[in-house]
Amino acid sequence: MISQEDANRENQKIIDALRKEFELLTKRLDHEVEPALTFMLSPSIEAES
Amino acid sequence: MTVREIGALLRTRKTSCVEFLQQTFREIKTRDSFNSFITLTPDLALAEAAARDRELAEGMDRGPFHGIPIAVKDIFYTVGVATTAGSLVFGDFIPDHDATVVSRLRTAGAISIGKTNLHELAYGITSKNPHYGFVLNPVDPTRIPGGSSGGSASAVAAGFVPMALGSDTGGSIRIPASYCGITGLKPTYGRVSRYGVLPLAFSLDHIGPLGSGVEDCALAMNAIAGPDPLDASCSQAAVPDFNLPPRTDLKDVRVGLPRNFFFNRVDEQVSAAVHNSLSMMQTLGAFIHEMEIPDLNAVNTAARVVQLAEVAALYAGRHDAALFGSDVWDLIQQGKLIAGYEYVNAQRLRTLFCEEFNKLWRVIDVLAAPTTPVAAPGLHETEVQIGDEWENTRMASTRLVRAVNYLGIPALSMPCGKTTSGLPIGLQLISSPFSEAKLLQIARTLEPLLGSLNR
Repeated sequence: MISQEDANRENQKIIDALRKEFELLTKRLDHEVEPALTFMLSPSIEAES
Repeated sequence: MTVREIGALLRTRKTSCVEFLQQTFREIKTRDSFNSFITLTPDLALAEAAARDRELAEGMDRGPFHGIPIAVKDIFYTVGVATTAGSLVFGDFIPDHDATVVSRLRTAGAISIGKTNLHELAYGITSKNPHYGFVLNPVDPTRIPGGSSGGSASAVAAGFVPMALGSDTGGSIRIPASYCGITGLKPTYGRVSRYGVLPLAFSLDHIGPLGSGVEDCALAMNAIAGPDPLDASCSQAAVPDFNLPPRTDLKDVRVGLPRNFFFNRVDEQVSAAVHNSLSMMQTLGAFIHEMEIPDLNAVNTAARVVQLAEVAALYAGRHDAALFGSDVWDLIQQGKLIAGYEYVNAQRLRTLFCEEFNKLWRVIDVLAAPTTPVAAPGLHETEVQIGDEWENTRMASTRLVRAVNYLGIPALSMPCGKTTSGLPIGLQLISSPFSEAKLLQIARTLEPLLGSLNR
């Protein structure tokens, strides 16, 4: 059984590693890219089909 | 048995719906050592079966699902029947209405026999549920069935029902289909209503069938897919017949064989079985197109950010860790560490990745790949060995399936052989948005050739 403190530390470590990979990806974004919130109504993928 | 085979018995009066259901419950009582179900509903099911028998006697036939027993993952609302999500959080929840898909299957004549066990809150891939018991893999009960739709997969693999409903947020239909040797379809985002289904991650959740064969999934899609005014995320796109007959060949079908990503860090036997399936497709006349595909490691990273944040949004207000299994609790805590701007940027990246990936469909009809890099891991294996490397079981199991949820495109897993120790191997076929009918038809055409490898 690990303590809550240890678990929190481990969770932070996992997110830090994820964040490091993710930050590299965000370099691909310029100001014109909008979030895929419309994804939730599917028009963007319907347009492709 | 398949939906068609059971239907033939009922229509030729070799058995009645009631007799078949009684036999099903006897089978479950004597053979379900796999913990497939959280709740069985024999009284309700037998009453419905009697009604379906009366209808058949009066000449009323609701179609392929008339009188067919099915099972429903315990995150789908079922009126008057507990819907726990495999969690203590929803331990006392009894919905006052059915999920749209449950209601549609009922109208099509299907009879739900109960609610299947799952990974707690549908948030994990082992289906080792700390509250309702571990689901075991019917192929080898010392192994996990996969998850989160583990009980649905085990109910189908054990032969209790020909079709069960599942949900797929990061592979939760396809992983258990792969590990249990059955077929599972994750449709296009928005193709199937999610009304009345407990959410996990709003923009990644998909509803779909797990079946004993491809046709069971196709018939289920005919019953459940299509617009739903009760679900704003449900597409208005026209619904085709999903159960097209198998073709005589696969001439004019362009199959993508990815050079990168999908075959990196994959067990040799899995890789060989999938390549063998591709050879069979080629024998049927398909054109195999070896190709580089967009970087799905990057897509997986962004998909994890979206999933962690969306799940945390649902459970951030819960402060009692004792209500949760430690794995699920930890994932919720991790999600709370994602910043708002990071979530938005993960959705902005989604715009780019979808555009990039959808270009593939100009040159291929379907992408063929393994569903999981390994066959079903042991119940207590927290890591799996792939070649000389060890990988966390959850990360390995989701690695080849997660991106498809983020991209919203349809994907199917079907059995394509076994390892030397007799464990099923899953072939994943991925296609363009709203092309499930074509995807299922290709799979149906291939299925008989793979059949002998799966026995």
